Amino acid sequence: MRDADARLVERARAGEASAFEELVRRHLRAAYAVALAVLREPADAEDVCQDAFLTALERLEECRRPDRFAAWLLQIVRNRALNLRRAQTVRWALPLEDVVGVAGRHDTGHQAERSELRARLLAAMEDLSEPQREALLLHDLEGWRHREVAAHLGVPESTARAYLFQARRRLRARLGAELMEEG
Amino acid sequence: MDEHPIDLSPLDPAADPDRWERLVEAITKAAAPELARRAASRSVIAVIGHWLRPALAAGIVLAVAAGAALSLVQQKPEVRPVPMAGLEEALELGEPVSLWLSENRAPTKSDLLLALEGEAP
Repeated sequence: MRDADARLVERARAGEASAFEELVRRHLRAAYAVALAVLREPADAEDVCQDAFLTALERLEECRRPDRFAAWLLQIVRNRALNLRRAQTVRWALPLEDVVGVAGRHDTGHQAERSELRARLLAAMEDLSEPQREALLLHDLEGWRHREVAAHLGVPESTARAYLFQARRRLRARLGAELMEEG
Repeated sequence: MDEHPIDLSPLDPAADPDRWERLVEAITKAAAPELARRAASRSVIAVIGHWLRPALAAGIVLAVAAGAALSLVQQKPEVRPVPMAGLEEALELGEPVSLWLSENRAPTKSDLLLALEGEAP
C-alpha cells in the first residue's frame, strides 16, 4: 500500500492525472471521515476534502515521505477542517432551518430515511470529543485498525482504543435514549 | 471494552455512488490545471535531458580542441642566444679586451700592459 502510494505520488508529481485520481480514490474516504469528525456536516466535509487534495497536489514536493502520503494528507485535511470550523462560527449562529434548509426538501422515501439516520448520528456525535469522533469514524466507518488510528491521532494504541470505547458507549446511550423517547 | 462496531453506514459517503463519483470528478477536474502545469514543466526537463548527452559530448570535443589550440598559441618561441660579438666591435675594442670579455674574466697585469702598450715588438 505504502510503496504503491509512493509510486503514485511520484507520478502525480510529474503531472500524471491518472495517478492523482488513484490517490484520490484511495484516500478520499479516510479524508472524508477526518473532515466529518471535525465539522459534523457532510457537505462541508466534502468541500474540505476537495480543498485538501488540491493543497496536497500543490505542495506535493513537501511530502518528504511519499510512502506515508495518507498520514500527510490527513494532517492537511484536519487543518483545513479546523480552519473552516473557525470561519463558520458566524454561520452557526444562524437559525438551523436557514443552514440546513433546502437540501432536505428534495429527499424522498429511502433517501429521506437515510438522511434522517445520518442527521441523528451526526447529532449524537456532537457529544463526543474530536479524537473520539475521529477514532469512531476511522475505525467503524473506514475499517482502520487500532494501530492505524493511534498513529493518525499521535497517541498510544491503548488511548485510541479508549477513545473508541467511550465514543461507542456515548453514542449508543444517546441514540438509545432517543429511541426510547420515540417508543 | 465495547468491541461491537456501530453501524455508521448512513454516514458512508460512497453509499450514494453518483454523489461520490461527482466528488471524485470535482476534485480531479479542479486539479487539472496544476497537473497540466506539472506535466509541462516535466516535459521541459525531459527535453533538456534528451539533448543533454549530445550537448555534453559536443562540449567536451570543443573544450579539447580549444585547449589544444590554446596550448599551440601559448608555446614559447625558441630562445636564441644573443651573440656577444658585436659589443666589442661597436666599442671598437682591440683584441686583448675582446678576449677578456669573451672569456668573462678579469684582465691580468700582462693583459693590461698588452692593451696599453700594444703588442710587443
